[in-house]
Amino acid sequence: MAGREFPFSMRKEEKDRYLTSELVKLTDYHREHCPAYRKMTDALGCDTRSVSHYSQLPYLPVSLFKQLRLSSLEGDEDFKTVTSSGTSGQQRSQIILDAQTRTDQQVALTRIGSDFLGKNRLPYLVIDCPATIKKRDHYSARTAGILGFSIFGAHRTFALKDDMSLDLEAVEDFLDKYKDKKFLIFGFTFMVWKYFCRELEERQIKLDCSKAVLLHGGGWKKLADQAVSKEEFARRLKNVCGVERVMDYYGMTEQTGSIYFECECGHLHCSDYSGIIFRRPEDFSVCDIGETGIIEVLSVLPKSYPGHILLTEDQGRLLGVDDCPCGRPGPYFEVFGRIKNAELRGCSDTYEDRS
Amino acid sequence: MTNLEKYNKIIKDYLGCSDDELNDDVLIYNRYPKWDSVTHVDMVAAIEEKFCVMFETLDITSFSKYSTGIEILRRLGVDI
Repeated sequence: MAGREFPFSMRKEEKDRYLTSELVKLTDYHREHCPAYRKMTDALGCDTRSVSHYSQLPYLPVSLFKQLRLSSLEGDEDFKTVTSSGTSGQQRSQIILDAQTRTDQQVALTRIGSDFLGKNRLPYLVIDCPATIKKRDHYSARTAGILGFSIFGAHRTFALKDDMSLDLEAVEDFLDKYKDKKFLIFGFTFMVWKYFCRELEERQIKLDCSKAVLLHGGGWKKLADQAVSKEEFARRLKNVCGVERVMDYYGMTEQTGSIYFECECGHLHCSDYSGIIFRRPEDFSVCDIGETGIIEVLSVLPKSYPGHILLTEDQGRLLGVDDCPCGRPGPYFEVFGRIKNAELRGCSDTYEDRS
Repeated sequence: MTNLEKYNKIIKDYLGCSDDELNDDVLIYNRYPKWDSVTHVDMVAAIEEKFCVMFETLDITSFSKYSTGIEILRRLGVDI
């Protein structure tokens, strides 16, 4: 699994077979090693022997990781806890990662990212502050993102000071050195917007990032009320810094590694490591192509915690399978953001989102 | 200082390990306590700077134990 050379190699039939077999194995594994998961899946009447397609496997609501610390590790194994970047006042997810799962995640991320960014590393400008990566045993999603994408970057430079103000001197110094060749800008969507794009606009500063690829993800979080469309986001960024290629990704702390990158055609892609299903909110049946539904994410990577099949709180729709003009086989889709609170009530939890 | 000594010094500085620990049984990424992803990125940058080379993206993930760093440097043309 983690040894596959190409992250985009499987067409529908092979992929269905592969994912079903891997995810059945993982479901059995976690049922054996995580008592809480066993109990929940028992209650759902889980019997993996009767499963013919991965869409029949039980899914956990992603918010469950905010309430329970779910681990499939033996007691004394070495592990790290990653927390999600929840909004203030809200519970954060806790994900238990051992060395093997962390390594598998990094390999997957490397293979998928290289397919989009190339195998040579690029000068790397981070729209965040140095303090974000200082904490060692408690990783936030922002830390994980900055470090994760560091493998694609070199000469890492932070664009913000620790008080979140723009470090214009550092940015200009970076651009003086690297602006004439392709380079990478990375940040969480709301950070790029608030502390980079809006800041440059307000201070009426123009930068030359015309050769950059700007990679962003993570959504709007507590800035949901200020969210702008994808087109507006790209247009405003281009206006302040000339960036031509703005690339989104979809991914979550609960399934790090098997990330979904946006291709040149503006479509998010499933790699060989992952699957995606859209479910109708009224009965959780599987949507047709083009029909909006709740996103379920599937990943073959989680071994230390039972997070291989998760129902998210996001909605989106499948755009097609195996026929994206970019040439990558597999499903491709788009994401519309969070589901309205009401729709998830009664699903499994009473989690309240104030964002 | 030989290139191997330079390499060992960087490893020891970043991982805080002793000479006895400079081997693949002990120095394994994500297992040796101080060799986490934060240190890893910094250590790769230090190696690159010292030897004037640039690791490829896949090298960074394959650099997962003591000896693979040496193998990568050799492939990049460093006499070590």
